[in-house]
Amino acid sequence: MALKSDLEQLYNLKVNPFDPKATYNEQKQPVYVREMFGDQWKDFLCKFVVAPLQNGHPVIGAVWSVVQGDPKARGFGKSTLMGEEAKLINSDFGKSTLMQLGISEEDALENPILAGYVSFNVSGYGGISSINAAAFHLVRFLLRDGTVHTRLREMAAAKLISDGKATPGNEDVAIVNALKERIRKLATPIDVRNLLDEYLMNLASEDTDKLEQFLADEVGTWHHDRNGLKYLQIFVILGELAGIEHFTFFIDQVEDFTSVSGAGKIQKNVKMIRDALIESEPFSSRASFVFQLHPDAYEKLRDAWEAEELPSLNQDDELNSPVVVVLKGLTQFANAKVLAERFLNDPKFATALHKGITPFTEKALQLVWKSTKPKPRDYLRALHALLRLATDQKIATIDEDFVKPKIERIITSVQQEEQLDLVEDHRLA
Amino acid sequence: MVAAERKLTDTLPRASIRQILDVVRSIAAEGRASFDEVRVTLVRSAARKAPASLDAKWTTARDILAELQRLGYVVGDGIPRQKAEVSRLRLSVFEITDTGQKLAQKYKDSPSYALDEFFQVWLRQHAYFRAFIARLLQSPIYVPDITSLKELGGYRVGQESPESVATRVADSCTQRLTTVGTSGDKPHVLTQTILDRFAALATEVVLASLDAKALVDAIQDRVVIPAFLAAEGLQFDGVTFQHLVKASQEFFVASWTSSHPDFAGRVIFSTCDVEPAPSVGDDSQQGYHLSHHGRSYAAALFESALTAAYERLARSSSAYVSAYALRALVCVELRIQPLVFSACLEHLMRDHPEASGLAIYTEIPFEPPPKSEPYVEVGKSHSRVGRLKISAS
Repeated sequence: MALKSDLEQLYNLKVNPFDPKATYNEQKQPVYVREMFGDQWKDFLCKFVVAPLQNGHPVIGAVWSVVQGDPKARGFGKSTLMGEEAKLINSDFGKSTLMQLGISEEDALENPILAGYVSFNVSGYGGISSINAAAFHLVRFLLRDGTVHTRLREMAAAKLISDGKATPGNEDVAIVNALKERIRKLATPIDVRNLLDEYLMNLASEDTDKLEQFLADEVGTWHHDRNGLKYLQIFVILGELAGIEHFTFFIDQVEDFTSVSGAGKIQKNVKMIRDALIESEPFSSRASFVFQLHPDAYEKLRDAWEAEELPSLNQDDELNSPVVVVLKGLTQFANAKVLAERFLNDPKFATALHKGITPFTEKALQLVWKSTKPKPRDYLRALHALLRLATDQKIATIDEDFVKPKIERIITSVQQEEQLDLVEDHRLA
Repeated sequence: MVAAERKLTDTLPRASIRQILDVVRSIAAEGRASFDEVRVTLVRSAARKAPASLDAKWTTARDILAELQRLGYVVGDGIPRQKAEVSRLRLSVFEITDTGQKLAQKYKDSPSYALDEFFQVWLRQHAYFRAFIARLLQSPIYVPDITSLKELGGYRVGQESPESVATRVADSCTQRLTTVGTSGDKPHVLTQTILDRFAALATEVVLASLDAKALVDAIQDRVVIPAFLAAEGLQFDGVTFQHLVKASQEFFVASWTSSHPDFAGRVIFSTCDVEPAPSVGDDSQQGYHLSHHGRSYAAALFESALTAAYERLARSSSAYVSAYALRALVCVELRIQPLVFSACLEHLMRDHPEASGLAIYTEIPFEPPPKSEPYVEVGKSHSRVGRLKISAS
């Protein structure tokens, strides 16, 4: 039996629950606290999930975080919100999400939905730096849940059987035929040969592991950087066959794409957004795309975006409010408190003996929140630093007296602030 | 005729203004110092450390001591004129004068006032500096730098005759100057001098043997800058010109930018008013009144200048615009330092957002500023701004 750590002895915590970086990692996010967004998570889902179902029109939307005069308006939880809500939707085809938004169980069951999340990144070879690569990785995200593919296949097979197009035992062939038939009817049919043909077979099969293995091992970077959209199109067609009413795809870190792309590449990819994502089937009738935007990315996209006559996603134009969400961060202490409490009591971090917000006192949390608001990332980083300090000094309770003398230094290191040296130079006065 | 009638002569120390004043202060501390002590002071305070040697920084020490002697701040004998003399004259002693002592005290108590005082001394005593400031106070100086072969419209090394390259250089420079309203004899003088200097260069160097960087350097240093100075009627060489620009920045009486949207090159502009206007002739007894364009000067003008510059760059859209281009427009328009721009922007964003009725959104920079220009920074945390958007709040 291992020795109890100081954290466990002092606070009934297995490890420090707060991440020192507090940046989103889709595959490692330990705790998701929707309440940290106040009511904005509802606004987000209503605009990008419910509205397309209600209106019958997919949307092109954007999630922003901008604060007047703050060029570093990051760390507001945009990635967390997009990635984690997508996972929640996929866990039951959107049933609980829709019901939490006031939709009846019957309607929720009749309108199954799925969501995908992908983040551009510039990690060299294998990085995600084009719409094709992003589309391919949206498929990988949808499969990562482990059950989405199986359930989709079952629903598609059941529908084909009830339509008399399949008999039990030959569902795979029937699904492949149905997919190919739908592909043939597309205005711009997909040339299904070689790897794509194999993909179709794997998609129709009930073996999700084999499908995932195929996508990971057989489909190389070179291929999916040029054909990724086709993989997503075919997946959406399978969803259509299974009765999925709507897909919402979240595309994160657009600035990582624009910062490494020249005007030509931006133009080509924006053209793809219009031609493939908005104007062509199967996306045009059932897929919404939501981009995470920052000013630099948006400005670099702007010329191409306007040239393709895509809808404006400007965050401060009220005409865009139906398709734009601007995250405000932790504006209420109650939300900040819930955020800390959920991390501190998550079974991954806390023993069964842990209770409430201990070792923090409410006033201490309030002080940290006031000093870091509205950025959840700074708040979580500060909590990490304080808990680490308290453990090191074997302090049982992290109260106001403990926090007060340290908070300024902690915030400085969290935000990497330096002092302004615009000193008493009369020439500048 | 653009060129000045009288031939000016002057000698400027190859040292920064801060180095000169640091030496005054170090000599004043003990009342006297040897040549070697001055040299060591310069080695210790250098940002870029010279390799440890017994004669590192000796030319800077030589220039500064000669300058201080000429201006009456120190007295002494035995400044080495050649490297071979350094060893023999290492212990030559220089003593501070009363004037030097006063300047050192002022520099210690209030560096910015000491720099203003020293500016006036330079204005009276250095003909080149006076000519440069006099020209700068009239209007911004546009320097049509050639920094890349791209500016020569696709010229490929070794595939064109020198005459053809010279014409390309002349066309590139004059076209850019014409866009900012340069007229009169200047374009003609510039073109002719470029052609003449290029012909001279071509007789000395086989241009086809130079790689792209060496060719650009040769064109810039030996053709464009001398031709530009001739067109402006400024009678000093390119190295002195660079030095004058740097000294003016240290005095906070001028600044420059290469981010101005109207001009592909450097725009050098004054950031002060001087009364009476300096003249090119002998002004060694003249007293001047210097007014810097600081925050108090810019306060009343900044908001409208910023808004106008933003509207120009955004061209009626509500786009985020380059903070570097925006700063260049505002700084040249108001003749203010980049630090004053930052302070005014900060004031508008944080202290008086309601009063201004403007909502200012900022974005971190994804591209560095042009070489040698500072980032646009705001706030106590020096938050860097790369793009900026203004709308009515």
